[in-house]
Order: sequence, then C-alpha cells, then structure tokens
Amino acid sequence: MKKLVLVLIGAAALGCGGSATFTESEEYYMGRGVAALAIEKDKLWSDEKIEEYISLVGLTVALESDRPDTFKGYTFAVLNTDEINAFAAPSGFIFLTKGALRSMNSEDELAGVLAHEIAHVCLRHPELAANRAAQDSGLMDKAKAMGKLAGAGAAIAGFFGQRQASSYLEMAKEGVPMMGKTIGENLKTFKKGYGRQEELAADAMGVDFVTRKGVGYDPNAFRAFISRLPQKADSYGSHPGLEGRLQAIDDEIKKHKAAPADAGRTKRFLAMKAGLGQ
Amino acid sequence: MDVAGLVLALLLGLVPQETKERKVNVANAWYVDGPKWSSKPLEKALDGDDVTVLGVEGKYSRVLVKRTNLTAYIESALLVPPEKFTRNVTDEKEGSKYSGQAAEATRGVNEPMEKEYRSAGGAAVEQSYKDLEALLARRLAAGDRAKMIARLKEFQQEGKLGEYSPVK
Repeated sequence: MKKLVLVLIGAAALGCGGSATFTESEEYYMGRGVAALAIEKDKLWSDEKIEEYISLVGLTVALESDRPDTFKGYTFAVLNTDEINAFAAPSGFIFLTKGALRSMNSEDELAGVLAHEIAHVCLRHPELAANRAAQDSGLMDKAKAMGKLAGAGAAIAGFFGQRQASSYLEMAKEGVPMMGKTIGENLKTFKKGYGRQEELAADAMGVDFVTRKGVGYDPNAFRAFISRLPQKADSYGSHPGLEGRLQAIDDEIKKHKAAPADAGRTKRFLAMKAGLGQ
Repeated sequence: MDVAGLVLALLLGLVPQETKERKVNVANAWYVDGPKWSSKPLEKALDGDDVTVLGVEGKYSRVLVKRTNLTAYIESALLVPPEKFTRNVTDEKEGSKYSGQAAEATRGVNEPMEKEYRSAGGAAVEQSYKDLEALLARRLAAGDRAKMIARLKEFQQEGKLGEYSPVK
C-alpha cells in the first residue's frame, strides 16, 4: 500500500507538469512560431471538411485527456507533404501529414496517433524542448531581461513609459535571431521525435486516453498503424525499436478495456481519406 | 482511515478539499454547469478571474467566481494559486490595457517579438503566419462553445464514441 501511495503521489506531482520556464503565453507564441515554420515548409492541406474531421477526432480524445485545454485551445491541422509524420508543438498545435493520413486505414488508427501527440502535450515534451532550445539560443535570457525592463518601468512610472517602450522594442529586435534559431531547432526536434523513454511514455498514455470511458476507440488500431511504419525510412526512425515498442503497447493495451473497431467510423474515415486524392 | 488511505482518497477526489483561493490562468476557458466537458457553458472565464474552490470532482473544480458571484465548474488544471499567476496577454488591445505589467508577465516572447520576427522574415514568413491565423480562425474550437459541443456529441453518437460507446 505504501509503495502504491508513493507512486500515486509521484504521479500526481508530475501530473501533466514537469518544470517549464516559459509562461503559458510564451509557450503559445513559441507554438505559433513552430506552426508557422511548419506551414512555410510544407504548406497546409486546407480542406475545411478534413480539418473539421481531424479536429473532432482530436477533441474527442483531448477533452478526456489529462490536459483537456491548452492556453488558446488545441489546434489540429494537416500538412501537405507525402512524408509520414505527426508532431505536436508547444501549447497544443498538432500536425499530421497528408502522407500519414493516407497510410492509415481507420478512424481508430487516426485517434491513436492523435492520442500519442496529445500525450506528448500532456507530458509537456514540446514545452520542455522549447525551454531547452531557448536556453541554448539565448532567447530565455533575453525574455527575462525584457520582463525586468517592463516591470521596472511599471514600478517606477506606474506605466510603460516611452523610453521603456523604445528600449523594449530594441530588445525585441535583438531577440529575433534567437527566436528564429529556437523555432528552427524545435521544429527539427518535433519532426524527428523525442527519445525512447518519451516516446514509450506517450504510447502508453495515448493507449490510456483512447480507452477512457468518455472516448472509446480501439487501441489495437494504434498498434496496427505503428507495426506498418517503415523503419528508418522516415521521421519515426528515432522512435524506439519496433519490436520493443509493440511489446510495450501490447502490455499497455492489456491493462485496459478495449472498445471494438466500428464499421461506421471506418466508413466515414475512408470517405474523408478519399478527399485527399491520390 | 490511515494516512496512506487518506492520501489515496484525496488523490482520488473522494474527500472534500479545503476552501482555496485560485486564479484562472488561461485565455480559453469557460465556466460550465457540471464536471464534464460536455456540460452547458455558462460564461467565459477571464484570465485572472479570482475564484474560490468549493470542491473537486474528477478533473473539475466547483468554484465561486468573485467577479460575477456565479457558482460553476471549471477544469482544475486551469487554476493556479494567486502567487503563481502571470497575466497572459495575447493581443495588442488587451496589452495596452495592462501596459508595463502585461509586458512583464508576458516577458519577451510575445506579440511585439513575433511582429519583429515576422517583419524580419520577409514575405514567406508573413504568409505562413497569415495561413496559420486563417487556420486558427476556422477551428471548431474557435467559435461558439455550445455549437462545438453539439457538433462533437453528434459526431460521437454517429461513431459510437464517448457516452454512446458500447463499452461501459
């Protein structure tokens, strides 16, 4: 019992948390930056029906997850590239590629992949990576200095005076290359994937999310999708070795009551997929 | 109940919590009439709202909103102790209202820096931000929350998900 309590206390303390240095709104602006860079590189597949469908699946999972909302809410979108990938940026920006969608066979597979990304958001992996990159680029120090300047202005003058405003904007300009470097490093990390432990943790948490009472997707579909991933040929190359990963997913699935796949869900998924063209 | 049992009960939300003062620290929240995402939205929560936590049910807190005297539910994860609150400002209009304090809270990675970044990046960067903003504006979650809930429930019913799932 004591061990169980200690484990529960540890889990509760960690929760969806972990330490982060950026504020929630800074994370949001970092997320926007990474999202904009991803869009610049690959462009959006801007089909509103497909976007709505992906969002409905994503929200079904996210709203029952341990982080049901982010600073400005979750954003789900499709990138117009044949590369097979999915990633999450800080503050709940979740991207899937057209190639990944094409390689899926059912809504339950899609839900499993989105749940894996939502788990990363929940575990704050994108935010922690953003903090690390900002420390390396010097952006974090710049942000702190800007905060101090603004705070001093507010404390002394009672308002943000002209001189402070001008110095503040100067500092913002100086921070631009650092912001660019941080965003670039982040996108590389997110597209490549995290370390083995982070990926396994997101797999387990994703399986937990899709099997929650308020969700009801079949977790075996996620396993099926992962088992078909081309090894080392894509961005999932850095993910844990396939055999070990599948075994860990199997172990996690056994702990939950799995809903069966549903023909109606698969039908609507295939109708959506047809909208992607060949 | 022994200590271990009490800790476990607290973690599971089975024991009434002490009354606690909290602040809402998010820009996208609603007060709802029950401890579920599908509960009826009552009013928009404002970043910085002072609330008193009256109890915890699952992932939700039942709160008294001091600004409007409303008793409602909100996700516990969106509440912080007053000393940990940082005002989040995400648009210029709001920013000017809070002046230096807002700038301090949002520190450096905020709208002014994003503006500089966009302008230094040229046309391609500017266009990608415009595409992103169009995406954000057409999100399901960006519109009316009651409509979003209704659409989501319809989607879940069609797909035998959530409360419509055969697995209980």
